[in-house]
Amino acid sequence: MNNPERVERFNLAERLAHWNHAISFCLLFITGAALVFRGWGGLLGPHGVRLARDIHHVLAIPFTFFTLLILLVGTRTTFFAWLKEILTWDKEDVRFLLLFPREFFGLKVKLPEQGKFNAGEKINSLLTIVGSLLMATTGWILLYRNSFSKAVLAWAYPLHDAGALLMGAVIVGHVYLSLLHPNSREAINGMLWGTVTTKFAREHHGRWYRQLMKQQEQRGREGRLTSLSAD
Amino acid sequence: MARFAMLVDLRKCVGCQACTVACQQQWGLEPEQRFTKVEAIEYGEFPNVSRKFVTTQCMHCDQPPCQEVCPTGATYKRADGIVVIDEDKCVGCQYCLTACPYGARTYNQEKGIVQKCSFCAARLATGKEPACVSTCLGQARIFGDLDDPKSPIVKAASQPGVLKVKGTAMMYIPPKGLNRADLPADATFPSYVSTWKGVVQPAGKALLGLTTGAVLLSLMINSVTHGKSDGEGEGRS
Repeated sequence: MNNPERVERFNLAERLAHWNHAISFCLLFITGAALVFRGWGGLLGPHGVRLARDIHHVLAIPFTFFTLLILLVGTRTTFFAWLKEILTWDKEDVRFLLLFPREFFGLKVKLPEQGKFNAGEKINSLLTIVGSLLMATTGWILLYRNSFSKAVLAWAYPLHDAGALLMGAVIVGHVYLSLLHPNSREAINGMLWGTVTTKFAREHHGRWYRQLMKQQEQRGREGRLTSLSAD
Repeated sequence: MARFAMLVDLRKCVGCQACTVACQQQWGLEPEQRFTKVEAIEYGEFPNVSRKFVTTQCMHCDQPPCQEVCPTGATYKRADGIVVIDEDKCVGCQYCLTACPYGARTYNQEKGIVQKCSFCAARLATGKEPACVSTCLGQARIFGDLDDPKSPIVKAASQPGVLKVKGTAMMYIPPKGLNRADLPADATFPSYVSTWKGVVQPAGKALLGLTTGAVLLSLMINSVTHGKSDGEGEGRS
């Protein structure tokens, strides 16, 4: 991480957890959609829908367990730091959200300085956590339908669909912003290779960037001190 | 157009289960799979206790919740009122099993599909009566077309003491002393089905469409403005 042009954004465990969740969610969405969008289900045909169901049921396992497991085992400190940050809100975050539509549609705007996760990313994180818990809970209930009462099943169905469609809408925006939006698409490199350009870090996550620099300085100073005392 | 209905004169039912078995045999069902059931009801107080029977089956609802929740269109109500399942289209999701207020649907483990009473639609097509009707020893079951004046059901339905289960194609003549509550209830449409199919799914799809629309609009604007002045082209390494 000695390249001054780039700064580390996500470690390996964070990226693995992200992609485990992303890939399993997308496949769960596509396979599950066969029972929500008539045209898609019709296109797959009865055998296709049955295959989609089998895939859906298998993917429930990585979706429910692996993401959390990777985060807890691989990067507990940053996992809790992330949780803490997305639950911490200030006025600047609200202002960011109010101004963001202008940024989204390519209009000129000066957005307030953000931390490691901007207010939009915080919302994305919160919706993903709440949505995933909802999807996993209702999903496992539906999978073990014989162990639950009819009343429980009756509400698991609409909740499972509501969660899926809401998260589907969220991921459309998420994928667009990370891959295609000209101002933010540098973000994908952070999730793919772990680093983003220094310019991107400074301009999009100013507060985080300053913290990083301060930490680096401190470490440098400590390094000098230890080498001095060793002499 | 025909309007099929069934009347069960429970005064004549002796609980012999011949209908249950004839139906199972007709449709090659697993032993635990029953399209029609005969339940014994005991009522009264000693020494005046009585035991009667109530038959249950698919009620062929006017507004079937099972049809509403079926994601493949396998379950549908025919113009003649019979609710049928197209077994080739059924994927075995069992949404209908939860939606049916009468518990009339069964899951065939071996075939992985849902099955239920179809008023023996295949037999009707060849001019025969449903298996349960033709096998009933006490002739308690009467089946026919309410729109056909010559059909036995028309006369049977006009007898005194006939109880029509509202919103369904079923009628009963209950024996004296049997509570209404012991018979299948009038049809109600489960509220979760209306919420699910009428609110959650349309709203969710609209949200998904709206987001996609916003993304496409943004993509268009950005490709026009950034095509001209590629200021934010970004140094990707």
